Amino acid sequence: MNLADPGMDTLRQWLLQRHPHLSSIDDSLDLFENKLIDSINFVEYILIIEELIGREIPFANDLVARTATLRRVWENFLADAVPV
Amino acid sequence: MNSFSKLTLVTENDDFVSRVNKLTSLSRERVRHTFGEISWPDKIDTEAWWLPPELLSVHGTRYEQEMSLEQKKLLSKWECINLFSLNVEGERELVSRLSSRLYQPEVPGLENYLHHFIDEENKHMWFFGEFCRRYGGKIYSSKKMAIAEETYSPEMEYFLLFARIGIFEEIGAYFNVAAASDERMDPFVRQIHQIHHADEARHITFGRALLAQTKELAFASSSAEQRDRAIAHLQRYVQISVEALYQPAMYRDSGISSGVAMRRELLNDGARRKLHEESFLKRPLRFFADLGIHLTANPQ
Repeated sequence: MNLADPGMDTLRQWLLQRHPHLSSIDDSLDLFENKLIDSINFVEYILIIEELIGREIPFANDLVARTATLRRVWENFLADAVPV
Repeated sequence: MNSFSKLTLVTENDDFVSRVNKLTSLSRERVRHTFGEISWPDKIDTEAWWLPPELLSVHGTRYEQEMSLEQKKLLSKWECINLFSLNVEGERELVSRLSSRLYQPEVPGLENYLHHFIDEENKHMWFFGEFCRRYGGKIYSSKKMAIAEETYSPEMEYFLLFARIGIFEEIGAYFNVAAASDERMDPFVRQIHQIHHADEARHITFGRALLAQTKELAFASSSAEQRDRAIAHLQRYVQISVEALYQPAMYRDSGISSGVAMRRELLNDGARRKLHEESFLKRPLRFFADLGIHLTANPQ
């Protein structure tokens, strides 16, 4: 089941706008393996997460792994964030 | 002859070798002891221009009209920090990747010059990093990251490495030249641009000569599919490099909310797209077109 959360909704809407052939995105779907995110829109994806959590996300080699699914974004970034 | 040895053919071209030797001599004659040469002021006036207003990412758009002079000067500070942060990132990758190829048998033996190249870039990375930390308290991250592993022939990988370096340096050079000669700028920030460009001009000359020498080798060693993928790779690099100039955090640090929406609007602004093509991408894209590689400034 997908998590009900405004931040998660923002990310889902952003992904669906870019992939209009999809009607929904499961929180456990690997966004990179399924080519929903490439090196170009990855930047905007992270920038949106930054805006949702109100802080900059520093460069780290595991950033792709930590954001590969919406659930991981929730666990690693959104769950503890103070709404902005 | 194995496929690895083809790149070494470039050192058999006397004109090319003579140009590289000349650049090596120039690096030795003009060596700067940057670590001790720069006198860091305690602070830089936020009422000064840190970038010329025409180089700001809002130039030519409604934001430029709506912002006060003070806001634009504050934005020029954070745009300068972003530009210098991009230099830190780009030079870090450059130093790392060039160093890993030194004295490898499959690449041209250009170490005499490459040691100067790496030495100069190492110093640049230092003063840009120092500048960002002293006067911005941070180094922005562009979030540039490879998502998928791409495999090419050794010749194509070598070509793509210098092609990316060339695009990165030529964009930077455009900003350096304009900012270094602009008397409205804060004099210390101008000095940083001047020091940087003095070395970069040689790096660009070297890169262009090397790319002209290796392009045919790279393309001849690749299948049609690999060639198409390599061109798509460079096109993505151009796009990511342009988009990195629109860092949302610098808008937020300048007191403008909704940085991502602003970035999106600016990237889609007709005036900005025209400017990408006619200003900082004009020379590098013309150079690649002359090599037979046609890239566009605004792919979407």
